Amino acid sequence: MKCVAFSQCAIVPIVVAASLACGEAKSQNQPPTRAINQQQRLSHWLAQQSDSPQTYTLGLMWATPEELARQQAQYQLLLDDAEFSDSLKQSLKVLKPTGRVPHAAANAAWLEAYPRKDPLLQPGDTVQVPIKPISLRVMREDGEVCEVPHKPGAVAKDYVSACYHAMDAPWAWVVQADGRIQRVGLRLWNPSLQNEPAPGAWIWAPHVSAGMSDAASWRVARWLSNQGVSDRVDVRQFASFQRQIVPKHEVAGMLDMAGRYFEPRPTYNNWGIVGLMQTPTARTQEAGSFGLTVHRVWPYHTLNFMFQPLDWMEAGFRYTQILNRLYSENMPEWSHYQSYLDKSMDVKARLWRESDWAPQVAVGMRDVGGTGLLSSEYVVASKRTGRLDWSGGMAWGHMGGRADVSNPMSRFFGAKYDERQPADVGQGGKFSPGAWFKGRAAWFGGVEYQTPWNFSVKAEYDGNNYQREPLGNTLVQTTPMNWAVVYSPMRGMDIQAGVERGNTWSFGLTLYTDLANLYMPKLTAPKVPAVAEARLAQEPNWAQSARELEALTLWDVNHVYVGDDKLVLRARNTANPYPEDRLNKAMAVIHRDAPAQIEAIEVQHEVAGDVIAVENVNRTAWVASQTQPARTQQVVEPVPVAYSATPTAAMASKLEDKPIRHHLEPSIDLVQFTGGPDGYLYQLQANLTVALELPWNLKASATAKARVLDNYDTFIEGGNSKMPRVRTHLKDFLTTSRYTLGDMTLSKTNRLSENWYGTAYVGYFESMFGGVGSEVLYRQPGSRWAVGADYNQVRMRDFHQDLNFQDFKTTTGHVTAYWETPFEGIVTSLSVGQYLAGDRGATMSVTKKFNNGTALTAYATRTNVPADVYGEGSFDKGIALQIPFDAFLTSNSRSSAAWSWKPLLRDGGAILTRPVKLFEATSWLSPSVKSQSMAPASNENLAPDDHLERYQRKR
Amino acid sequence: LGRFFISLNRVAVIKPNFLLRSVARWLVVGIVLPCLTACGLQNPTFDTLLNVLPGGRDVSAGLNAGFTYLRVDLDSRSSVMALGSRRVVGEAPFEDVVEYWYNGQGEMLVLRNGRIHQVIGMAQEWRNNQSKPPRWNEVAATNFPNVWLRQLDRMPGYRFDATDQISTYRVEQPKNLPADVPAGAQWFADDVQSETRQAKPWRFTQRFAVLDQSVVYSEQCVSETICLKLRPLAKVDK
Repeated sequence: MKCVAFSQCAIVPIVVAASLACGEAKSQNQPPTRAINQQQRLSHWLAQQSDSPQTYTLGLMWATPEELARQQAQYQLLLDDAEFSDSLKQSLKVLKPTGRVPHAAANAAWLEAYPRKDPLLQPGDTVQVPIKPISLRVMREDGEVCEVPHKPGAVAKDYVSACYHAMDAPWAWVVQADGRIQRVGLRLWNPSLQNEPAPGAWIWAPHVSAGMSDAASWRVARWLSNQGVSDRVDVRQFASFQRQIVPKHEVAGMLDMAGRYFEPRPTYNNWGIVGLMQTPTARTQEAGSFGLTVHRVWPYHTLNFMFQPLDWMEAGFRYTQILNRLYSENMPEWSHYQSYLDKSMDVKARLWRESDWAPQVAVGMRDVGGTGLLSSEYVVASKRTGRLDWSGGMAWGHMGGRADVSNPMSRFFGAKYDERQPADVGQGGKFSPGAWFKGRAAWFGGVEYQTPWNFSVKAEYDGNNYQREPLGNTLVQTTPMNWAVVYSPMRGMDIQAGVERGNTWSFGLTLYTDLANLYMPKLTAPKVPAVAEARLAQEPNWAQSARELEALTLWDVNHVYVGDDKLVLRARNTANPYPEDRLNKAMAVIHRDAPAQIEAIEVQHEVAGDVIAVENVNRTAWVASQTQPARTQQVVEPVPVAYSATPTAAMASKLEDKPIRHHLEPSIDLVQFTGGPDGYLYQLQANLTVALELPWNLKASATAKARVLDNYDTFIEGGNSKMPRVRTHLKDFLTTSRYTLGDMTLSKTNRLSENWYGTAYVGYFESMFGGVGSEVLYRQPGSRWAVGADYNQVRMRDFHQDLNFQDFKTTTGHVTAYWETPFEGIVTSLSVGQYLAGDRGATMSVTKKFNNGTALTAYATRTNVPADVYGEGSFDKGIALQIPFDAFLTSNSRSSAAWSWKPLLRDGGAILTRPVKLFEATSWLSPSVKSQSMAPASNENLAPDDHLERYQRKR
Repeated sequence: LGRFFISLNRVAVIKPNFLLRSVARWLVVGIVLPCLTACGLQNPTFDTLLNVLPGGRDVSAGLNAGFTYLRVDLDSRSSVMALGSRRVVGEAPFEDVVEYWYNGQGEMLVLRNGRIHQVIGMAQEWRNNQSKPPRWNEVAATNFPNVWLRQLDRMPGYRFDATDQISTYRVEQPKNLPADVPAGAQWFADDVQSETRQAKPWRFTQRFAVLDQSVVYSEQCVSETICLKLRPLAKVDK
C-alpha cells in the first residue's frame, strides 16, 4: 500500500482533507443494503424512505438474484482473463459481483407515473441508496486505485492528470455511478465532447505501454459499472492505492484550441468527399452518412452525391460542369449551348486509424470510373491537435498536376510508373488501373480549425497545376494556397465560401444526413393500446380486434384460432423492415383482447399460401417486458423466428374467410433525370395502385399514372444505340402520353415443396415491357444462401403505355445466387443470363443494409457486348438507395422509397422489372429478418437516461 | 404466347386509348388529388404532409374533464401537461406549493411556487435541486434585487453541483400582455448567470406574472435550447 498524497492533504480545503485523510474508511459511511421482503415498485419503496439531501440516487443499487447469478459467471471469466495482470486481478477480486441492474432516474414521483421505467422489486432483491460521495476513483492497468475529490466542471483528463502526472493513457473509460460507460480521449489527437465524471464515478485509464486491447478495457469498464458508487468499497482493500488532491480544472480559452469542449465533425470539400477544398483528408464520416454537395469555383460547377457505406469507406458519384466548354462543340444548338458535363465516381478508404504517434491514413481515387478527365489518386494522412486537424499527402493525376515530385512508386515497381497515360474521354466508364498512381506526383496538405462557434476555417496547399486543366483550359493561379470558411447554420447544412488559386471565389453548399439513423416519431399512426397486466375473462369481438390489429401492423389477418391456452394468429403481407415493432403492436391488441387462459401466442406468417415462418410469444413474459424494466442486464433479443407451425386444420377460425382482398393506394412520385444534354428534367407523377388478392394464391395488380407537372418541353435527347433499343426509347415512353398504365399483372405464387418456391406472372410488367414469365427459388429457412432462376418472354409496350405492344419481342432470364454475408449487413447476388437486348453476361450486386433498413446497393453488369457497341459508359453500372418509409414518415408503411442512379441509360445489360421477386417475397426465411429495427431518436431529443453512446448506436 | 398478345390487342381496340386516358384523368382528379387534403384512404406520405403543414393542433382540444393542465410552449410548439399532485411543504408563513406535472411522453416538470424546480424525462434534466428561491411576497416587499444561488445536478453531461447565480426583482407589467394573462398580475424577473455545457457564460432573463401568490404565466429556461412558456389552464369541468 502507498499513500503518495498524504503530505498534500493538508493544503486542500478542510472539508476535503477531513474526508480524504489517508486511512479513513469512507465506505463505512454508506448506509446498509436493504432486503426487499414483498413485491413493490421502486417508486413505492423510494417514497417510503426519508428524503435526505445527502442521499445519492444516481448511485442507487437495485440488485436481483438473477443478475447476481449472471455476474458470478462473468466474474470467474474476468479473473481468468489472460490479458489482465495479476495485480489487476487482485483489485478486481475486491470488486465482487453485486447483482446490480441499471435503472432510470430514481425519482419516486417520476417513476410512479411511468411504470415501464419503474422496477418491480421482488422478494430477494436488495436496494441501497448511497450517501453522496465527494470523490471518484481512477484505476490503472496494474490495479492501482487513485481516489480524487470531485470537482464540478472537471473532466476525465483532469482526474487522470491529478493521479498520474505523466499522461500515459490515451483513452479512458468513464463509468458513472449509474453504470453509464463512455470512452473518452485524453490526448490532443482524440478529443470528444464528454460527460463530466460525477461523484462516485470510476475512471479506467490503462497505460498505453500495457498494450491492453480495447475489448479488454471494455470488460473492465463493464465490470466497474456493476459496482455502484466507487467508494462503496473501502479503498484500503485494494492492494495498491493512493489519494490525491482536488484536480486542476483546466480552463479552456476563448478559442479552446485544445478541444476541451469539442466534438470533431468532418466537413466536405469541393468534390463532395471529406476534405478541405480541392484536397481530401484522411477523415471519414460515420457509416450511413450521405452528403449532397453543390460547389462552384470557376470554371467548375459540381454536384456530388457521396455515401459512407462502411465506416472505413467513402464512395459516390458526381456531375461536373465545365462552364467555359460546350457539351457539344460541333453541334452547340443541339445541346442548347449547354456547358460540358462530365460524370465521375470517387472512392476513398481509410487504411488505419489515428493513434498516439501514427496519423490516420487513407487512400483514394477521384473520377475512377468516368471519362478520366479529373482522375486522381492520392494517399493522405491526418493528425489532430485539439481543434486543429492537419492533413498532408501525395497525389497523382489531376490533383497532383504540379508534378514537382518524382513518383516514389517507381523505386519499387519500376520505370513504368514514371509515365501516366492521358485522360480517356472516349466511351468512358472504364476502370483504368493501368494509369493509377502513375506519373509524377505532387504534395498537398492543409489544416482545418473547427471553432467553438458554428463555423470552421480551412487553409490548404493545392497540388494541382492549373495550366494543364482538362479540355485545354488554362487557369491563372497566383498562389497554391486556398482558404475557406465553412458555416453551419443548422444541423445537416454546411455553407462553404473561400478563395482558391489566389484569385477565384469558391462557394459550396452541402446537405448531409445520417441515413442509418433516420428517425421520425409516428405522430399520425394509430395509437397502440396501453399494456395493462389485467386479462379479459370473456372472448372479444375478434373481427373488431383483427381490424384494429391490421390498422396497427398493416398485416392482413386471415385467421385467429383459440385453443385451451394457445392463440394462433395467421396473417399475410407481414414482411416489413421492422418486424419486432409490428409484433409488439400485434401483441398489444392480442393481450388486451385474448381470454385470460391464453398463455402462448403463435403468429404465423403466410407467404404463397403457406406458413413459412412463425413467432412464438409467451404472454406473461411479454407483458412483463412492456410494464417493467428487465431484471437482468442480459441484452433483450427480438422474438426468434421459427419455421414449424402448429397445425390448425382441426381448429375453427374466429374470423370469417375473406376470399378476396383489395388494396387501393394513391401516391405521388418525383421522377428526375440529369446529366444529359437536356440538363435537369423532372416529372411529378400521380399514381393510383389497385391490388387484388384472389383465391388460389392469385394476385392482380395495376397502377394508373398521370404526369401532373414536368419540363419535358426541353427534352431533346432522343437516344441512339447500336443495339436493340430496349431502354433508349426513354423519351418516347416518357413524353408520348400524359396518362399511362404503369403496370397491370396477374401472378400466382406457390410453395412447391419444403424449400422450393415458384411463381408465374403475366401482363404489363413495367412501363416498357410486358409478357409472361416465371421464377423458381430454392431457399432453406434460416440459410444465408439461395438460388433462383427466372425465364421471361416479353414484348415492348407501345409508347402510349396503354394496352398495346410494339413488334419487338425478346426472351430474358437469369440464374441468380444470393448470399447474405455475416459481415456488416452486406448482401450480395450474382445473376448470370440473357438481358433484354439479347446480350448475355452477369450482374454483380452488393447491398449494404443498415440497421434501420436503409439499403445502399452498387451493381455492375458485364455482357458479351463490346464497349464500342455498348456506347458511352462501356458497361452498365449504378447505385441504388432504398429507405423504408417507416424511417421518415409519421405513419407506418409497408413500402420503401427508392432512388437509383446510373451514369447512362444504355441498352446493354438491361434487366427486366418483374412483378414478383421470390427472394424478396420470402424474406421471412432470412436469418437476419429480425436484425433491423427503427432507429432511436438522436440524443438531443431523448431523455438523458435513454441516451445511446456511440458504441451503443447500431448502424 | 403470340395468340395471347393478339387477343390483348383486340381488347385494346375495343377500348381505345382515349378511354383509358379519361379513366386515368378521372382517377387522378377524383381520388388522388383530394387525398392530399383528406380522405378515407390511408397513405403515410399524405399523413406526413398533413402533419407538417402549418396550422397545428389545438392543444386545448381533447383535454380530459376533471384534470388540471399546464400549457407549455417551446419555440413554436405547444403542448399540455396534466397536474399529478400539488403539495404544500413547510409551515406558514414559509410554506411552498410544489406541483408535479406530467405528459404522455414520460416527462415530468416540478414547479415550486411556479418556478421550475425539477425536470425529469425531458432532453435536459434538473435533478437534485437544493436551492431555496425567495418567495414572491419577499421580493415584492423590497425595491432591491434578491440575489440567490441555485445548485443542482444537470443532465445530460453529468454536470453535478452546478451553480447558477440569480437576481430576482420586480418589474413593470409589459405593455403587450401575453394571451390570457390577466392585467392585474404582478410581474417579476430573474437575471440568471449560468454556463453552457461548453463552459461558456450563459446569461438570460426569466419573467413571471404572479396573481394571488400564484404564477399565472412564466417564461423560464431549463437550458439554452429549452426555454418554456408556462401557463396553467383552468380545470376542465366534468
